[in-house]
Amino acid sequence: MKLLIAEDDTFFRRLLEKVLWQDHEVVMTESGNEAWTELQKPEAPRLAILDWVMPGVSGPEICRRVRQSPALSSMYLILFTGRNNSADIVAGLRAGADDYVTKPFDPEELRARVKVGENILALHTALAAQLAAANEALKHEKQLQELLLSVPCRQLPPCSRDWRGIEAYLSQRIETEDRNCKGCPLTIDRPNLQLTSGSRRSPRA
Amino acid sequence: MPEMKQTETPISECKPEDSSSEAILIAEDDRIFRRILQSWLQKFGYRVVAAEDGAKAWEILQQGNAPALLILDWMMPSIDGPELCRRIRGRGHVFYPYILLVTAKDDKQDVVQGLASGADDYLTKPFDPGELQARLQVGKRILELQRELIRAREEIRFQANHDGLTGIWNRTTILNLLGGELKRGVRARTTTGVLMMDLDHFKKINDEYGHLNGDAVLKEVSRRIQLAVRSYDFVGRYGGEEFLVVLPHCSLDDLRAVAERIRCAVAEAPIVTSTAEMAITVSIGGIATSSPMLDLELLSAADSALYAAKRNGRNRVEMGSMATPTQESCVAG
Repeated sequence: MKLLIAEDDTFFRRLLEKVLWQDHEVVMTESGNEAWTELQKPEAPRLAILDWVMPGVSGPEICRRVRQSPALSSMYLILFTGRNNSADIVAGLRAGADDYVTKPFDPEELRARVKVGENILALHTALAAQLAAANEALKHEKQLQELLLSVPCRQLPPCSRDWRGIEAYLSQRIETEDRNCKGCPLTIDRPNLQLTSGSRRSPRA
Repeated sequence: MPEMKQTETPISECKPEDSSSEAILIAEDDRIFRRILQSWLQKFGYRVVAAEDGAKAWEILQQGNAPALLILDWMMPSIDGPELCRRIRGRGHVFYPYILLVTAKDDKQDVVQGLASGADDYLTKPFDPGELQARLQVGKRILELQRELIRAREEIRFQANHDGLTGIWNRTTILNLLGGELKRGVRARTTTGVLMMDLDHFKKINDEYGHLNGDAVLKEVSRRIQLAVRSYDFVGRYGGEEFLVVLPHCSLDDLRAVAERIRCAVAEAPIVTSTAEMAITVSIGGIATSSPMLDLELLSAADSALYAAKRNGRNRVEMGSMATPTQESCVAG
């Protein structure tokens, strides 16, 4: 997975990279400003490890900005810092960090914490994909309904009471009227959606 | 309270947050620690469900509406914290709860092992109430994002599967359901029934009383059909004024009985709106099968039966047979 590291200290930057590069595509930044610019790009990493004190924007400030930005707010942010008392941890988490790793760090622990973030992001990505698929299905469904309802009965050919008849007729009509009709619901196999959970049957009106 | 040294933030300084709707499950075998944790969490504003060991916690998690924020002790009799994490994550495609693993151990190997077993975060006793509260807020934010995505997905799926006017299954979905039930019926060696119905003279209703009244009729007829069928039957809108009911595990006699019930439910009382009182009837064609067949063949046979019901005077039920499907199938609504 793509992840961003923001750390101004060369030693820790190298160390982080060494621990993470094998499993991840690492985007390396050396200041808060650079990190904030990277995170706003399209296709930006969705997981970031942020040093607390950096030139420019601080780690906690980046956390706050990410949480306030609707497009970025689902990112997974790990603060990386030498501050290890509870008050700092609380301040960091309250700024919007998901997790907190203190220097000096244990490589295995860092990998494990990154993995947690990866799992949570994967879950959100899967849900977002399901939502997109549902939207796509709904769009086709609406087009199909429009087509079915827009054809007056008397225009339907003989034997159109058979639903095969209707659909054959409609696709034929569409083909002759607009041969380049892309995205026509009658020519696209609608994904077989899972039914709304807990309602195998339509609700009673 | 040897384990609960309040290191940085005294509990008295922790303000309740907007956690009213959120429930937390704590699994902790140490009675004293459980009680302290419980009182802290309540002070934060959470609803607390307490379990005295891992087995009890697992039992609670099997129930509907179980808490989604979990604080699990590492060392517990029966099922320990990491094992509980593995079981929870092993459940597959269900809601993803946020898990905080708590332990008195302070060996880094344990952190790694705990997180690898499925925990999202890890706290070592003694811990600070302020830190606990902040970590729970993180969990809550992650859960809320997940809930929001699921809510949006379910809403769109509902719209994609249901008819906007009547709220019953739409055409695509009822046909999918029919296909699925036919396969299931063959596998289970049971009979699947299909009823195809068409409102009688619906065009006249629209012409005479207007489309708003026409829509009101479609909605009310949908409602009456749903009340007349069995709880596990599927009712869908098949066309403008056509409905399809799929009846799993239904004999020919039962099918006829349900069809009659629907016919009577529609015909027995006029449909009344603020501007009209409309006597509505429905013609129904039914077919039942237990042999492997295409939904197309079945629909075509049901359609022929419906045609027979129309031809024989409307407001009728006719049962079709698969052996002799009629070829004629055009009739004015």
